[in-house]
Amino acid sequence: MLIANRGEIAVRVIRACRALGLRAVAIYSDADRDALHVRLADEAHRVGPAPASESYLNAPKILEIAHEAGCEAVHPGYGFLAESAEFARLVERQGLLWVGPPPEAMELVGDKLAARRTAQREGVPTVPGVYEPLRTLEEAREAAQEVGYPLLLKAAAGGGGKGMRLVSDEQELKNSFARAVSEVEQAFGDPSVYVERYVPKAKHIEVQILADHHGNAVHLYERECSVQRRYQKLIEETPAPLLSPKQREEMGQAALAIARAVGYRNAGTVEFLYDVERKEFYFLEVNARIQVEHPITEMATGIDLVQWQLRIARGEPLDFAQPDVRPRGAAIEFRIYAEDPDQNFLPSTGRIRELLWPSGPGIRVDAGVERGDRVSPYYDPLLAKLIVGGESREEAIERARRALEETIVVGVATTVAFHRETLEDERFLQGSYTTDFVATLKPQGLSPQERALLAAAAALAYEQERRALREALQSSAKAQEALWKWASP
Amino acid sequence: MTQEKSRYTVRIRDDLVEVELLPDSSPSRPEEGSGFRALVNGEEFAVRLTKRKREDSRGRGLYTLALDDRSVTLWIEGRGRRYEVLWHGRSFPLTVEPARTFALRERFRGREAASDREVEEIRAVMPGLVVQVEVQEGQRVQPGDGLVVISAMKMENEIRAPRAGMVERVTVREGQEVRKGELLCVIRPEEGEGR
Repeated sequence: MLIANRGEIAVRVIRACRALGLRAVAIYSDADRDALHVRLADEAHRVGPAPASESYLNAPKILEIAHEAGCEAVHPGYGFLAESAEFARLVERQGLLWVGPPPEAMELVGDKLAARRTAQREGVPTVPGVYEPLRTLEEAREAAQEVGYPLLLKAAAGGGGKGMRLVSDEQELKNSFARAVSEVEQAFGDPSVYVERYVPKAKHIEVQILADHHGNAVHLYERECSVQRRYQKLIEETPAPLLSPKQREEMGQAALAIARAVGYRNAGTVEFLYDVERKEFYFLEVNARIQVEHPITEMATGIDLVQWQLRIARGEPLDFAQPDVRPRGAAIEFRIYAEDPDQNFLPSTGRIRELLWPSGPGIRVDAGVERGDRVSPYYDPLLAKLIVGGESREEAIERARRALEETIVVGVATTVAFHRETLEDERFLQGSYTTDFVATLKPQGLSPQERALLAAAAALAYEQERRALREALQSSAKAQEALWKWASP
Repeated sequence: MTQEKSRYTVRIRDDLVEVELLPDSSPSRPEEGSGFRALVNGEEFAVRLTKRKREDSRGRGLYTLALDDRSVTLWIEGRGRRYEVLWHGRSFPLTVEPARTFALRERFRGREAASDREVEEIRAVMPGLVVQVEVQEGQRVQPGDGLVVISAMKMENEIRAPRAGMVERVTVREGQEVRKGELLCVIRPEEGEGR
C-alpha cells in the first residue's frame, strides 16, 4: 500500500495496513525526512522538496514511487490529492487499486452544483438557492432577489468553505461578482458560481457512510462539527446534541440516497447544514474521502473505518448491515493544531521540545508528531487529534477536561487552551452552539489565583537557580582551597 | 542554608505581582526541592517546586508545583530574569526581578522623558505575503484591532494590536513578501497605558 500523505492520517493508514498484514510504503518531502509516518512505515521514499506542489501533490512522481516499490494500492488520506478524480483515474489506469470512491462518483460530488441537483432529484432538502451556474451579473441579481439577502456566493468547484463569500446586499453583489468569478476561475479552473441563502444560526452536521462494491451501503450516524474557524473544524462530536432521533434517522437515509444516486463506493461523508431556528436540515456537499474526524465515529460504533476502506477497495463485502450499526455513548474529538488561539489561530512553527499525551479510559490520541519533531510552515498545522469517549456526553466532557489538563506541548502554540475554554462555555455544554461559536468566544483572562500561581512558580525557579549557583560557587571555592592545601607543601 | 527572605517583583503580561519567599523550616528531602512559604500579593501559601526530569542541565523543563494541597505540572524555561511558563496550554512570558532592583529601575525610568517610553514592535510571526495593511501612521488602535493581514500556508492571518496606542510607523506595504520576524509596524502605547 502506498500512502500518498503525511502527518497523523499517514500514521493512521499505516496502522490499518498493519492490522491487515499489508506492507505500508510512505512518501516524504524534504521537510518530513524524519517525520513519524516515515519512521513507522515499512519503507519510505523521498517524493520531492518541501512545498506541497513539488511533493505531496506531485502525482507523476508518487505513481513512479508506487511502481518502484511494487505497491498494489494507493491510499490518498485527506487533503492533497484525496479528492482529485484525475489522480484517482491515473492510479486506476496504472493498474493500481484506488482506496476511495470511483473517479466518476468523485466528479459528480466534486461539482457542488451537480451535487445539489442530485440531492434535489432524490428529494433531499437543499439550502434554498439556484441549481445552475450564474453566468452574468444580471442572472446573479435575479437569483439573489429570489433567494434574498444576505446570501452566500459559492464556487461550484469549491467546497469546504473555499471560494465562498458572504454578500449582504445588491450593491455588494454588483461590486464583487466579477471579481469572485475571476478568482474562482483562477483557483479552480472553473468559473461556475451560484448563490444560496445564508443561514445565520446553523449547525454543521455530517453523516458517515460506507458502501462496498456489492451493492451494500450503510450509514454510521452523524457527527456535529460546528466549532470551526475559517470553515476549518476544531471540535467534532457524536451524537449531535439537540438533534431528534427522527431527524437523525432521516439524515442517515438522505445520505444513503445521495450516495446511491452517484454510485458512491468506499468511505464518504455527506454534509448537512442544520438551521437551528427552523429546525430543518439541508444537504450541503459530499466529502469523497476519509475525514479528519472519523475516529469519533469509530469510537462510538466500534467500526474501524480506515480498515474498511482498505477491505472495500480490495473487493470485500461489508460483513454487517444497518441494524448492526449501534453507536454507544458519546465521543468528542479535539484537534490539536500548532496554532495560537490568542493570535487569531495564527499557525505556529518550531521544534516540539516536550510532548505529553493523556491516557486512561475513553482516551485515544492520533498523533502525527513526537517529541523532538519540527513543525514546518509548509503543511496543515494539525499535530494530533485527542478523541474522548464516554457513556454519556457529560462523562465524555468530564474526561476531556482531565485529558486536556494532562496534555503538554512545548515549543509551539497549540489549540489546547482554546479547547479547555470551550469546555467551560455554556453554549457548548448545552449543545446549543452554532458555526459562529469560535468568532463569538470571549478570551478569558487570568484569574488572580492563576496569576499568583504563575508568579510563585517563576519566582521559585529564579530563587532555586540562584541558590544552586551560590552553592556551586561555594563548593568550587572549597575545592580550590583543598587543591591549594594539597599542592602547597 | 540561610534563612533569609527573598522578595521578588514578577511581571505577567501587564500585571505586577509581589512574591516573598521564605525557606520552610520543616524538614524536607533535598531531592524533592526545598519547600518555601510564599507570600503572593498578601496571601500565604506553602510552595514547593520540583523538577520532574533531570537530564536537562539548564533551568528549563517540566516541574511539579505544589501549592498548599494542590499540585500542578508546569513547563518552565528561564533565561536570565525572563521566564516562560506553560500553563493550561498557554505560554506566559514572565520577568522575575529582586524587588529592590525592580524598584530602583522603575524610579530611574520614571525620570526618563515620555518619548523614551517603550514602543511595541509588531513583527511577522511567520513568513508570508502582506495582503492588507489596515492601519495608517498616526492612527489610534485598541487592543485586538487588526493591523496587517499576512497570507501564509494559503491562510490569511490578521495581526492584531496587542495593546492600545498610536501607530507610529508602518514599515510594510500590500503585496510585499515578509520574512519571519520582519518589522511590520510600531505602536506607541498611549499615555497611562502599559506601565
